[in-house]
Amino acid sequence: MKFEFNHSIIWGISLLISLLICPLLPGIINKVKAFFAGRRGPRLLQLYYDLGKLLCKGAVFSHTTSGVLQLAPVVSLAGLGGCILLFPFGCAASPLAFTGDVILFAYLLALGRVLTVLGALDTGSSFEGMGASREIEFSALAEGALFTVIAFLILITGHFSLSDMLIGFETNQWLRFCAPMPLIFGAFGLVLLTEACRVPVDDPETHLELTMIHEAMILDYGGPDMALIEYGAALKLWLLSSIAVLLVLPVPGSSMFWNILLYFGGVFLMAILIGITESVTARFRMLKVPRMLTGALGFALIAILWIRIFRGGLL
Amino acid sequence: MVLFDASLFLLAAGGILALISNRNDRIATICGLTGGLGGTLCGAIGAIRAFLTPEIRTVAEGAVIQQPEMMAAFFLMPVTILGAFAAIHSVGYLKHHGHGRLGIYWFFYNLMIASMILVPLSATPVTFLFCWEIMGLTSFALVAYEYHSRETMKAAWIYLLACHAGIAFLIPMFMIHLGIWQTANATLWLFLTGAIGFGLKAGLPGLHVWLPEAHPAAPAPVSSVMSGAMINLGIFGILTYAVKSNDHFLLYGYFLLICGIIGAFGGAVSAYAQQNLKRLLACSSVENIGIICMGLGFGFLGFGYQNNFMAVCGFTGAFLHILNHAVLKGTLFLAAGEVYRSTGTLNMDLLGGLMKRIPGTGRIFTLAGLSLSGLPPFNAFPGEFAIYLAGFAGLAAKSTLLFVISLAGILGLAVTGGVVCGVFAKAIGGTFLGEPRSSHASEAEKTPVSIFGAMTGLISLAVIMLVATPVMTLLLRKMPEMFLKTAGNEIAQHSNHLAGLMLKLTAASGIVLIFFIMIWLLRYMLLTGKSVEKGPTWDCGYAEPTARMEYTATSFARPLCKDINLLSCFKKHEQKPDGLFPESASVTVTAEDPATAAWWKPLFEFFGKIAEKVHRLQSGSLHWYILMMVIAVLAMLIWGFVFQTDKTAGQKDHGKVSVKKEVVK
Amino acid sequence: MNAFVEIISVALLITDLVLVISGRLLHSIRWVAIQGILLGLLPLLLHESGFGVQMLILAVINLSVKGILLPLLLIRAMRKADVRRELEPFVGYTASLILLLAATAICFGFCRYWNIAPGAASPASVPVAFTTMVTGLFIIIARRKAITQAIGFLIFENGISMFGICMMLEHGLMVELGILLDVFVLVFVMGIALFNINREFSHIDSDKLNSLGDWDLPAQNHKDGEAEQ
Repeated sequence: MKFEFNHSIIWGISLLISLLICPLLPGIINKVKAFFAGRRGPRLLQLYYDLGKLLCKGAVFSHTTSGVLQLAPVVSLAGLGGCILLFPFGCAASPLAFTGDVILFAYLLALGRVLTVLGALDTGSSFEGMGASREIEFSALAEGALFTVIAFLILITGHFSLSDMLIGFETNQWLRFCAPMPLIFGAFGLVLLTEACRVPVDDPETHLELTMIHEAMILDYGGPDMALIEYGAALKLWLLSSIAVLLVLPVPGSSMFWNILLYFGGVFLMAILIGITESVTARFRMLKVPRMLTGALGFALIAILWIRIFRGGLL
Repeated sequence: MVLFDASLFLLAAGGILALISNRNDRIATICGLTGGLGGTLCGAIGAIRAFLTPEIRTVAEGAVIQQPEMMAAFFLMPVTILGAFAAIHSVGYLKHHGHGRLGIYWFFYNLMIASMILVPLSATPVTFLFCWEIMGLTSFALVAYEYHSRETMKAAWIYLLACHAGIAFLIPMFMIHLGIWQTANATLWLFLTGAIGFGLKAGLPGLHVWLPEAHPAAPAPVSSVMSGAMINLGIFGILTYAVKSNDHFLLYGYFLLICGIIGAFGGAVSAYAQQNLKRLLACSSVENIGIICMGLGFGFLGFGYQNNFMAVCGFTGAFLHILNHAVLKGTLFLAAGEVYRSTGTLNMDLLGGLMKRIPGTGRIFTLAGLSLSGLPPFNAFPGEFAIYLAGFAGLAAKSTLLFVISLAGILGLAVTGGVVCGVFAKAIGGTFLGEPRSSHASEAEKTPVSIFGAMTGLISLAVIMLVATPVMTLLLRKMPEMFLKTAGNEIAQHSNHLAGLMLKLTAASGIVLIFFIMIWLLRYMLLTGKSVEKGPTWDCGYAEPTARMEYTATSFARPLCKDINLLSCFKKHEQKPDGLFPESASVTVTAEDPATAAWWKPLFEFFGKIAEKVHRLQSGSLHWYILMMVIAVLAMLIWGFVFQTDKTAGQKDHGKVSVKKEVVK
Repeated sequence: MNAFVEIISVALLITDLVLVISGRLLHSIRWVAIQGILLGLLPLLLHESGFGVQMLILAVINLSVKGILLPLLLIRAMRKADVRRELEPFVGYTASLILLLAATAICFGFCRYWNIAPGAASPASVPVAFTTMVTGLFIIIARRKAITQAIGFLIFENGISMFGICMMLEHGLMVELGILLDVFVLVFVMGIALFNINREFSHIDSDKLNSLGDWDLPAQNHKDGEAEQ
């Protein structure tokens, strides 16, 4: 019982730290990109300053909007709030985890996305409609890849809960299943880039509304609403990067200290990796993204096939 | 049983009184509504009582209807409850439609509800078929209610054809069921004929063609009842008559699961491509029936492979989804009807901005749409959750086939979920958000109390159901047991486990709601004392954006439709600008139903050709007819005397005779 | 050590998938080079069979010829013929991907259930070799440009040599070298021929070369892919 209690404390502390430092991730990515481009780039803490500034501001809403616009960021963040309670922060299983919570996790992310889309449509702007349309297109395709990755994890761990399937397998088990790991990591990486609106799919920094996805949908926000959205995006990026890290990271099991160190180090490493990806690739043409997502699905399916055929899954 | 007698009596009396007083709109409405409401309420109470305290069926000798057992009572609940709310909605909906014909409407409406109540109550196959036929005919009359329009009549004919094609398969099914027709693979044929016959009503993929036609044509309350309750009766038929317990679980499982995957995915994609709001909802019904079939398929496979956890999850998910879909789709159709009533069009490319003009309807539609997308704090999620769990359980199976189909099921459910989010984002965005795209939308009328009341009632019911999901999971425990001989202790255990998970889901919904309130309060506090202004939408540098520049529902859906172009059923027709001073240019995207194009059209063209050839026999001359009758009688005589012993020849001749008899008629 | 072979196999599978959806020729050639390098590493990881001279020779030849020499030749041919993209393939990229996935599943299932190669170094490597061969054949069939077909041949050969390496065939080295010579000549000839054909006809779409035959073919009206570049 005491052991469980310790676990919960570690989980809680890691959760709080994650909530506090998640706005660092976009800063790290930007720093890496600036390094590759030979610039100095914005400060590491830039997003904190932005959030502070936005929270102090008032807001302007369009005549056209009817309340959905204001609702969207709040619901998205509330959905993310549900997500974080299920996530194994610091490699410690969430005390609130239950069988099948991975479905709830994926669908809560979808809730935020749909509300953002509705918020974009609420403004009646053509650019925001365009962004919304693309968001639905890509996320519908990414959903398939995401659930295939989940199926893979179920196959190798036998658990239906997010905490158990991400931290459930130990080093010796990991060696047994490591061969298809690059495939799964690749598949989830592509899902991550799509869901978090990063470069090969979406460019958050382009100056042209026509080529944006996520940024186009939030053109009409300002003030505290914008702060909620920015924070939500950073938190989502943190969560997805954490999944990617825990996906390939074997958990030593015994030492709490190492677990936490590995977790946070891994997430920052992941941010650097995303930064490098963004620096060395250009944004895909929109037509190419569905092909890429089908590729992600293919990767995950082959990984499942591999495990099933050469390892017999759980058998 | 008394309650059902009372319910049927009230419905019949209300309907007939309404028909008699057809001349006076007010009296007809009062009679019809009183009868309808009273009848459905009695029926609802009876159904819920029968569901909670299921008795053993005791069929009295010669009885045609009987006290419903658990399955029948379960399917009676959506019928009666939706029937009541749709009746209230009808009052407001018909105020400006069809003066002088209200009596007829109420007559057929009450008769339809009565026949739908009778279908699960039937004790004998003959009664069942009789009520099934009445149900088809009355709903046909209601679909054809606005008979002035050519399109409505076309839809009504398609619907009538589908109904009778269904009956054509149901009669052999009952013949096998009763043992009149004995074949080698009785169970297989029983299931196949039943699945096609009932599938035509339920809208299994490939057999669903009438749904996207009849639902938009019918008055909204009728499409609400048809979509929420009547197509479920098709599922009821499959589960009660086509499925023989203790046998062939794998056959049922694989068939339903594959049908379900195709139906769910295909339905979602075709719904995404629709322009007409009610047609979109109809396609979404195909998708939901697909999800229900997936649940049932997983359930049967669970029994077949002795994996009781999978079975419990599959069945519970399917039954939860049936109830949630009934209530939510009912609400959505009622709201779509209100859109039609107040604007006069259902074309989403002409609507927009209705959230400000009919806010109540807009909010209810948004809520119901998000719920039906299967998003977590809302209704349809627990059902889908259970079906996912069933699929996950199948992944660990030894059997490769089960593993592959489970993976396909999970994948299908996931992609369907993603597309459905888009479907409702399109429906809500195109209809209610943004600026009105035409005068239809900008001059929308206010919502009458009766319509608003009906919709609010249904959506409140949905909220109650969300909170009561764990209890419902426990109550549904006995349903899967009916397919097994023994009431397993294990099933109850798994059911309790699932109910525990549902409780956690409900708690999670609560937590998300609390988070929502907290963040909303935070936002409110941050904005107090600051300037909150109104301005134009950010126009990206172009001054004065007009509603013509808005993204329409069709253009919203176009990219994904292009990616997933199933059997290339989405066609783009464009007229390009031509010359130096182009005058007109247009692009339209239409979605043709792949099933219609693939086999219904060729099939009916084939029938048409045969009919044309046979038509020559009908020359109009009396002498010719008499000659044919004589030939027919002679042929029968010869058959009777000469070929009676020779089996093959006799059958051959028998065929000829029956064709000629048809012609004589 | 088995894990290394498996990781190499997975990496080869990834290169197959990427090659089948890649439309840019330079990109394709680079991935073929990566495939060659992976293949070169494979014999070095098969410790069990002894760190023989044969294996070492094979590794060196594979690395240098398939990983460096042939790709360079192809790049040169590509530059000379002035083509960069495979436009309008016979089979679309997404469809190709789905077909390849199906083929992979079939190869895996086939090798598993009929246990085709019991003596292989790793059970996973044989189906991957088959998948690579299928990929190569598919690219030869489904793509239009002559240079892409040369790439297809190269992939096909990679599949064969992977099969040979993993089965540790007797005289594997000799067979391997023979095939390699064939491919080398093929790529070399193609490089020269491409340049000349391109100069003569201003395109290198191999399906249009059909009309060079003696028999009469109906006039083909493909869009000229090169015009769009």
